Amino acid sequence: MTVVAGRDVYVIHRAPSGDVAALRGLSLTVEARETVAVLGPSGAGKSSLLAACAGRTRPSTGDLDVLGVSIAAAGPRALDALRREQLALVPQNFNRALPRDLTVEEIVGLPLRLLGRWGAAARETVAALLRRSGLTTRAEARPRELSGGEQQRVAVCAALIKGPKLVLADEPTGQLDAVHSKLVIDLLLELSGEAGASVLVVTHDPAIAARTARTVHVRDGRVSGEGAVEPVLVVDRQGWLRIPRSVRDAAGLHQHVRASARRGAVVLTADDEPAPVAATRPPAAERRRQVASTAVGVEQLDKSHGTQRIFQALTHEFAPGRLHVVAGPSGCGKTTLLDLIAALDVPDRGVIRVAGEAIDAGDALAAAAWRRRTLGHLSQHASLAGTLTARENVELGGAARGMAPAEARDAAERWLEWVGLAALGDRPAELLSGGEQRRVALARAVIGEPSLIVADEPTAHLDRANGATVLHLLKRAAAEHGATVIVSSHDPDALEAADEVFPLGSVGSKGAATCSAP
Amino acid sequence: MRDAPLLRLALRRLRSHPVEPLLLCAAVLGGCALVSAVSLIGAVGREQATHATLSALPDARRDVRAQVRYEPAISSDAGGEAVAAAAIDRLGELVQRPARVRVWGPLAPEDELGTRLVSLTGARAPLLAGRAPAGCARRRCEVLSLSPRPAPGQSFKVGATKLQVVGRTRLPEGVRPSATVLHGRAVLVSDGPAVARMVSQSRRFSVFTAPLRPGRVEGAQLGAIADRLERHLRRLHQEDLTSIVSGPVAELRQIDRRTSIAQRRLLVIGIEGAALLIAFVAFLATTRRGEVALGNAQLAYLGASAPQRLRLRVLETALPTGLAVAVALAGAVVLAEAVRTAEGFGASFVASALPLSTIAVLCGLALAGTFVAVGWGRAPRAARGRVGPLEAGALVALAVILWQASTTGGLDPAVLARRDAGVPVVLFVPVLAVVAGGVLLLRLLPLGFRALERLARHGPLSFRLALLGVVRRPALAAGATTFLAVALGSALFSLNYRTTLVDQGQAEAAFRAGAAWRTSERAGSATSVAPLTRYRSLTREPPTPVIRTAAKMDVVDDPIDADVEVLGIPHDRIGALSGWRPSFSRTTPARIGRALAKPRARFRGPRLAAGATAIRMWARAPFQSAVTVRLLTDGQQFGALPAGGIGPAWRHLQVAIPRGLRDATLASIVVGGSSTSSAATGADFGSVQQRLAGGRWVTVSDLGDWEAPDPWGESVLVPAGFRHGPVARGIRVTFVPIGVSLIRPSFDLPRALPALGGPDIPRGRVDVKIAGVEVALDVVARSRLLPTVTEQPRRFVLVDYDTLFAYLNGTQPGLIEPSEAWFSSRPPPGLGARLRRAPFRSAAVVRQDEVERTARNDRLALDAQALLLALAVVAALLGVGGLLIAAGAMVRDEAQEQAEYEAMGVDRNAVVLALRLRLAIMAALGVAGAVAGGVAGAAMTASLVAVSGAARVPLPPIEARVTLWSCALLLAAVAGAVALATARAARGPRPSIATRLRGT
Repeated sequence: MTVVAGRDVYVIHRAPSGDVAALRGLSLTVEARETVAVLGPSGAGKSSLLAACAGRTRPSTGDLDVLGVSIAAAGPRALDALRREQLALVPQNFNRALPRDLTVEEIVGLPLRLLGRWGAAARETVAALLRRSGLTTRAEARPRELSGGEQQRVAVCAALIKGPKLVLADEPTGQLDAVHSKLVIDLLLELSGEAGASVLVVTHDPAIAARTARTVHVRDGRVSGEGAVEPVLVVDRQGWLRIPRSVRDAAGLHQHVRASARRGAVVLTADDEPAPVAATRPPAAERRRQVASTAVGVEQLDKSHGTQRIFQALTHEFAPGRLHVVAGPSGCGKTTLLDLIAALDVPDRGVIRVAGEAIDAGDALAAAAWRRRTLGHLSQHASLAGTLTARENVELGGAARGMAPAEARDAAERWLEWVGLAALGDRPAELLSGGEQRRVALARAVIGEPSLIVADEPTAHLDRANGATVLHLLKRAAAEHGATVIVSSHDPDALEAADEVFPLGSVGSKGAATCSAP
Repeated sequence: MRDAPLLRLALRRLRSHPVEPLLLCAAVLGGCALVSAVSLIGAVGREQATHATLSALPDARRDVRAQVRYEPAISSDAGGEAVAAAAIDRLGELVQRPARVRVWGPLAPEDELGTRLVSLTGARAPLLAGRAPAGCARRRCEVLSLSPRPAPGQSFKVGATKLQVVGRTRLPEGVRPSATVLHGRAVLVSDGPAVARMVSQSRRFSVFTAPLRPGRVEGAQLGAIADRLERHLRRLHQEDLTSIVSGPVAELRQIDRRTSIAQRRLLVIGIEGAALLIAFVAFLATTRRGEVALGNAQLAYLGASAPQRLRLRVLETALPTGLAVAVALAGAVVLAEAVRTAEGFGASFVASALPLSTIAVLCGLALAGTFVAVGWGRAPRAARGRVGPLEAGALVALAVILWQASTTGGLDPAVLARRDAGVPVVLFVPVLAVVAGGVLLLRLLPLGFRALERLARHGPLSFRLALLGVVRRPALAAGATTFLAVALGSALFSLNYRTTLVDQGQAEAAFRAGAAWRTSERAGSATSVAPLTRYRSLTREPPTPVIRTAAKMDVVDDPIDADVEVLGIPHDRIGALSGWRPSFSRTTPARIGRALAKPRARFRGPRLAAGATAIRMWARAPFQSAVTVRLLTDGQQFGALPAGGIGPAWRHLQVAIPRGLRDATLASIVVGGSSTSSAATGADFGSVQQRLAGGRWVTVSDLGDWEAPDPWGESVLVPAGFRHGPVARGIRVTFVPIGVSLIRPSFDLPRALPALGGPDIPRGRVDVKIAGVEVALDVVARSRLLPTVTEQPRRFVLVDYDTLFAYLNGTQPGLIEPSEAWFSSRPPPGLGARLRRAPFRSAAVVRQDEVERTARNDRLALDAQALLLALAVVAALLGVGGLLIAAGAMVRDEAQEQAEYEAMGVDRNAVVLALRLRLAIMAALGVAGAVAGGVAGAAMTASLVAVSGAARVPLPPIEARVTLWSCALLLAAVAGAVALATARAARGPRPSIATRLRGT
């Protein structure tokens, strides 16, 4: 039985800034009990595919049947019934799935209550699920008392308790470290298997894709290929073929190719001038300011959040001109350490020295002045002003650092070029993809040519290619600019790109850190 | 129960996040309390207004009266009386114990004007003369006379019984039968067997009179009481067709209509106030959109359908709003019962204070609160140019306003005041205007913010951040600014409305009085306050004499002359008229006064000496004639001294001057005609002499400069010498033998009196007839209205008092005297009582302060003012509170963004300054919108005052007032709120930048 049958599906979103085509002729089928991973870069249309399958977005054209219900033609009641009884939705952000006011037990049982199936059997089902997911002891806890991994497990249990026919999971491990990711994905697949449900899971993580029976690659709103390692490229019904970047890079293909056909093969030959090198070089002024004096040292650092101790006597030295990755499981204090280094928080005890100077985050005005002079900060949740263009957002960063308008404008141009987005400078930020937005945020962070760059999970929610681009830029900033770049991440690509990894907690021990997290 | 899990979740969410539901509950409770209070106030006002109005009615208009006739020749018993008595009895406590007057037919049946017997039971007749009668004993009855004859002391026999008149009395005003029943001579007897024997075969009228008891009439029951009374009266008439029944049905219905209209209108004002609180709910919901969206998303992930999510949201909002209504209703019932007990109102008061309409409004408020909280809590769909329900509502509102303004005359205060509609559409215009203006502002502000943000890109960083924050969340900023404008605009509007009400009361009082106080007195059939010198006993201020009289004016194309009110005021007093408004005329009162004095006349004549005791003169006439000397006192009173008759032979006329006329002006000498004609043909006079103290005679006037006025100017007065007469020189006058023949001192009278005319009086020459005298007027200026002219406010003429006095009395001295005395100083203490005693003739007084006090103390007006003040305060507090809430929401929503700015190196002070600037910008825009709306709304208040007042055409017209001090006060309040909000944001405990960056 076919659970999802999509054919030439187009989804066009109407936005104040203009219409955006999220899906452009996507065709996909998912059979009963099949597990399918959807891979693709940010903005490729993965989440739109899931939203359409959940009946939250109706196809603009094309046919999409989910469990025999035509999403385009079904009425709101039919779609409601479909979602309530046969679909399970597991979100990327567990904050969006767990009511803050209910206990774990109540949250897991709520879908059955809403279905009117509450009773002794239902209570037993809830208890069994909590046992399976290792949450029995947290049954009375509320979401804010749980770790991220626990919350996501609660979300999985709540989604699957009603015995759905189709599970739609949107990057269910996007905010989790590897350990918790494994726990959650195991639970998801096990419960789905027991319920006999098909699974359509959107992810960037090849490890998760490897756990599913089938992998589908989506690009530009279409299925571009199938298969995990070397995907079979898909030529869609209109004849469009998407060549992955890795293939293009390997072949040296850029904008123009010559195609010749022979029996059973199409040969593409590059027909471009070599790509300009200057665009990827750091600005000249930056190269001249290479310094080696921005070593960051933490000495005997203690930090607690309430009763929970994060560090105790943490001591480490971050050398300049290198990309440092602070690694460790969720809850281990990676972000806290970066916040302390960036003078965004005050340690309970200990000293942080940057270029030999002790940082006092307690003196707000002095700390702000120091950040203006020295720091480039890239937050995990960095948000751009959507109504401003990419250039205006970067200019704003310059203005925040005290630059004159003309100076900020020139600097914004340079740094947009540096992150490879000069051509998109006039586009409103809300129309940029997630990866592009992250690069604009990076340009905004470094516009003041800081000697210390702190980036918290810079590759989170990005596809691998975009993540690699961001890491590449950070590495260049360290290598060519001489800045000390400190990144927190549990992304394996980041660990691989790091000049130095500073593990916290159970990941390893490179320094004198202790960690209370599991 | 299908929704049990939802209910449980709703309760859990209410408990976890109590602030929003508490605010929602408070807002709806406030709205309900306002409506309940208004309803209660309206009911109290209705009761008190009913009682006051009924109490102020003359007895005759409050009486239930039944007049039945008994004819022994036709009917065998007097059943009609029993029926009437029973019918009045059925009215129970509503009326006083009835008084019965029996009037038998004349004792001599053939003489209809002959003496008849009258008995009175249930009331007392005052003894005016003689003694109280002893009643009847054996064959002798003592009676009181009700007419000049028979006089006390007289006696007469009726059959074998002797009636002795021992005194005089009169029937009390309220129980007196009509003149058709009680005419001719009558005596009052004690009803009893003796009387029955005397008049056993006589017809009789019985008049039952039972005045309504104001204290027993419940305002809420007026309609029912009127129905009941009408039913009983009709039934009584049907049972005895000869009976004549009457009762204050029309009065009750009129009071019912007026008070119920006022009550309904008050309720509408209350509802509009409550609408503001509902707008506050909408604003609150707007600030919580993010949280609501998150909650909805969470439920959707857990499988809740859209209807389930909606039901949950409805439950979450319906619980607080329902609780609010329940509390408000219970509180209102308790309060109404307490008021009922305290004020001694009837049992139906509680139902009157909380009628079904009020309860329906309360439930409507709960529904509206729920609907608005749910509807405005949802994120708006992003689409450009979409006409949603809000826009549609605004368009409808605009259409209604335009329709009212252009087609129905619905915004004209005078038109509105004349209407009977209980709730005219105009009452809804303010709220419609607020809706239309609010939506417009809501839609325009984001565009304005965006434009401002573009302009500020080269400005200081704090300014940029301030506007950037607005642009990033335009809905919240626009919502907060719009709500501020609406709330403050409502507050300003309420204050202006109240000021207009108060000022209008003062203006009406000043207009009606024209002076601090004025009096008028009946003198026989005329109205005269002469002699004005009497008023010296009341006040040191000399009274201003004023003539107010009716006139007839020829109207082109209309065979019927128009009635015109003529007012004669001293020209130099016109500038000090109370109640004058510059808008009445393009000419100032002072200039009008000067214009009316060109030309000016004044009644003049030789003055008698203060000690003169008599005057004398030689006179003769061709025919027998009577000579009367007329004097004009300083008190503007004419006195007549009959000097005696004259004939062809000379006669020396001498007449004593009464004490009151000494020191007077010799005004005229009237020569009366023969018995067949009042006019004379001529006369000869010697000089007029006066006798001074000591008996010496001196000449007052030789009459040489006198004239003989007549309407045609044909009478002739010439100096003459009388060769054989007792006087050698004198005057000879030849009269036109029509009208009154007189001579008087000569003074110039203008051909036409300069006058100020009302709107219906044409400019230029106008002929009017005043007291039978043709008067030519020259209308030199016009005015829309004139203080004190209220009966026919468009038809009046104003002339100089002296000129009018001289003109009218010039041809007929004594024709007219001042009818009113005006005073500009404060009334003396005990004025009313003193004016009721001699030498005053029960003078009627109009006091500006009393009129003003009456208007000010009108319960409904007072309540309306208090309500408006309360509304203004609540609206201002809501506006300021809204700004504080918006500031809190901004700080909360933008915590992460601000943390990012701080992470970039922006110092905290700059971020706080940005917030302060943003609030200041929003506050400035909100206040500007509020002032614009409040001032624009003020123009509408005139219409509203007209319909929410006493349902009558206001004089002078209502003029809207704008209170500048209230604008200043509100500005200060808003500035304080901005300072408070930013101070709280700057100094309050804040999470670290790191915490805010994580969004936790």
